[in-house]
Amino acid sequence: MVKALQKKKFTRIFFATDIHGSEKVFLKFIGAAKFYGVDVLILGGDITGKMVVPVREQADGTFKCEFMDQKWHVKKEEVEKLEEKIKFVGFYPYRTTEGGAKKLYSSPKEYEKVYKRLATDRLKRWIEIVQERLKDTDIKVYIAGGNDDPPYIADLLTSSNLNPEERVIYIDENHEMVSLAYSNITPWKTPRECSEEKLAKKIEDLLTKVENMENCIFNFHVPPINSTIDTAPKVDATTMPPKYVVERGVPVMIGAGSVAVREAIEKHQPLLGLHGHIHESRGAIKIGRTLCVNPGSEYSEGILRGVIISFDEKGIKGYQFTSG
Amino acid sequence: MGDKEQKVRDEEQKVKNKELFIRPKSGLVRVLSVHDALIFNIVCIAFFSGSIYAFQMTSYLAPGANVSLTFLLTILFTLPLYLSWAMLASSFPRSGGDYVFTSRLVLPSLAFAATFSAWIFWQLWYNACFPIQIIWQSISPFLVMMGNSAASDWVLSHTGMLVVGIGLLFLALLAAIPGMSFYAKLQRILFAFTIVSIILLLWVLASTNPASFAERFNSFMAATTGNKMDWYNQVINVAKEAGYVPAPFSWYDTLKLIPVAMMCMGYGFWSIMIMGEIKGAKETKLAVYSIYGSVIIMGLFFASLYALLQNSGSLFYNSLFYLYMKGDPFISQIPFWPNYMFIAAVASPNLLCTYLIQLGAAANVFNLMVMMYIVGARVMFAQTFDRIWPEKLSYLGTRYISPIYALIVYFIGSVIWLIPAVFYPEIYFYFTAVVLGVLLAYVLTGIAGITFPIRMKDAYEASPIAKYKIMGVPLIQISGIATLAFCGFLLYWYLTVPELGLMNPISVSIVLIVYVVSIVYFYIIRWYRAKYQGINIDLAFKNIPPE
Repeated sequence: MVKALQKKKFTRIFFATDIHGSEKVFLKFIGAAKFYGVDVLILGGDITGKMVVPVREQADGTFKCEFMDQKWHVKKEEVEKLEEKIKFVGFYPYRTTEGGAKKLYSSPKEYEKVYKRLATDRLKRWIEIVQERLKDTDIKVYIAGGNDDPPYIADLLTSSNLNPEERVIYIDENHEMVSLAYSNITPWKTPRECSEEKLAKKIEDLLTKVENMENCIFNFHVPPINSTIDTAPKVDATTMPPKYVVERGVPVMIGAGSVAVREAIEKHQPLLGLHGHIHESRGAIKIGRTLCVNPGSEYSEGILRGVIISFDEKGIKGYQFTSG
Repeated sequence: MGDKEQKVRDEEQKVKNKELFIRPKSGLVRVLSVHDALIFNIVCIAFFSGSIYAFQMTSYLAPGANVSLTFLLTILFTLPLYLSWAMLASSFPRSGGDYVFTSRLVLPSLAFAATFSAWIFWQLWYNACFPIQIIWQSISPFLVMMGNSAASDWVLSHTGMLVVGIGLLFLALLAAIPGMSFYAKLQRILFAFTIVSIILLLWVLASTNPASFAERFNSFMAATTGNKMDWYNQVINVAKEAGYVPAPFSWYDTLKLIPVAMMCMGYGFWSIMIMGEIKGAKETKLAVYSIYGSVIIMGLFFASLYALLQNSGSLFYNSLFYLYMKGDPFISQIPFWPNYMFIAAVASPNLLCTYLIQLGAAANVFNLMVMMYIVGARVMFAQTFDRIWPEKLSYLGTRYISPIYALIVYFIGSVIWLIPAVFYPEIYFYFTAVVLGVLLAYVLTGIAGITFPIRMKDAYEASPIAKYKIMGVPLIQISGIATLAFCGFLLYWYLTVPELGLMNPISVSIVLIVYVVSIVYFYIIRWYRAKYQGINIDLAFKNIPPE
């Protein structure tokens, strides 16, 4: 009865973000369409894994690797299970030798080459899964990139018609969506970050294509600044690795979001803002009439954090955070 | 090392560095250390709050009890309960406490009712009582000792208690608003005062003996009442006439007091309410340390305290408490609420020592008041995220990143309860069964422990507790079953000992009404959200399968 009531009146979207290569979470995302009974699936940015983990074959046929502060040494028959664990947290297992691993570490070009291959292979598999599992449904799927995702990822998504970035799409007859992967400058020198001025320009260029701003959805990876959905610990980027800034034993928290995004929302007052980027700041806030949400991320624990939003032609009827 | 090797090492280090600073980005940021969490739980057990009753009730309710042994046994008996909380909380390391996991593992409506009753509704009542305790225990005696009886009379009047009470509740609200970063610093300061108070309390009691205590008590009573009689022995004589008979040691009486000890010892797990803000929250061993560690420390403290209380003369303090619990008219001549704090104040060698003990006591109770706001707001926050409360309660202020509206609601609720607490103290009679309003939350935790490996198999196997098994059986299930057994043990005493208050039909009815209204509210809001907002709140409690 509950589902019947919902289906009658509303468009329901499910938004998740920052899954960072976790295959388990991606599969849950695809399953969310039927499980949550939604019409549209939107995956926000930062979909690629963070690093390659060399799984090094030893002379005795066993395998060694290190990740998440643990050392692993497994037999040949256990190596696939180990690789599944690596994929679980979103990393890319790379079966090689000790010599191959040394080469990988010693050459950034080699590392990038291997990373690109593994990241695109995984994304291609994900695209196949989407096409296979949702082909006989009316469910729309959009997968956008984020600042952590290299440009070739966006190209791959565009070629499979899943990428909503930098264009206007209609998610239903009344609601347009615009998407932007870029973020403001971060301490981590990510592939798609830029100055606030450039970000503002990108946003304005994108918004010239929108017909009805009142019903528009901003799918901007980076949240608006000082909005509580952008709260993150302050980081000292002058050290390597960057460290938390601590005062009197307690981390200093700041708004790490974007000024340009905030100003765009305040100026244009769209219906909805979908954001990610700051995993720990799950929440929702209204900036004027615009509801801005960040479902957060717990991908490394295999948990799909998301938000279901239902709306009709009159506006947003309700939203609900999920954690699966 | 050659240049080439050094270059390889440098590149390896760069990749490792990349992983190092990746990890902080991928998890929740936590402000409190595990030691802060331990202190948090110690404060929750509350030195000068619920523990007082275990001492006061002995001679009246369980004259043969060895209270030290009661607390030591409580440490042991609560192990499964605390283990269940620690293990479940480390598997669901987010703020909101047992509501988060019992709603997912048992039944959402029941979990909401249990946690609303236990951690919001009835804690609002306790939060209203705490300012009154500070007034009785610290402010009024301080004013009397400063020679200002008139001021003491005013704070003890209805108007005084209301004004000072609201003031204290407001101050605690202000302390809770700035969020956990501020609270962590405040807790350390307040706890420092509390530690000083504890040390002095134990030292004062250790340094006295019945003869010198009697002399001090008589001097104190002479100074406050103007009557120079032998008050010490008079207390003993009056209690004897009123029916007090010292009893030999009894295991039955010792065990009977465990439910009373649980009025304080049953709260040392509250760090699970703020689990999303504690570093290392997913580490089960750290969770056990901070949660069960508090029970061990406080159990040992109370056991020691009772042992040292003997130095004031066990016949004396048992007589005093007996007269108080019986409501004997003689007790109205004692100018302060008789408890171990009062005894320590009398035994204290000087005013400074007395002030410091009382200051630490007040600091601890005030700390607890701030904590109540934080805990209550986080439970409300978690329930709001599941769409049970209005959205506004999940609003985090942009300045302090704190659930401002939830805190304000908590303040208003506490003030509403303060009014009857001040003007109609007879209302306490109707709340003697409040333990029932908390017990269901404990029971659901036990059930959650049993169902976790069954209902959420994937999540269980990915959790940090999956590796803990005894003879192939998940430890969390064994702990869950033992938790239910312990709840049954508590219920047995409450049903068979009328003085524990559960046999009060009015009070029981009130508790049950709170549960029923909560469940009805849950289903109404569920219907409303589905019909008018297209939200199925059941989805918040379901585990999405990966395939």
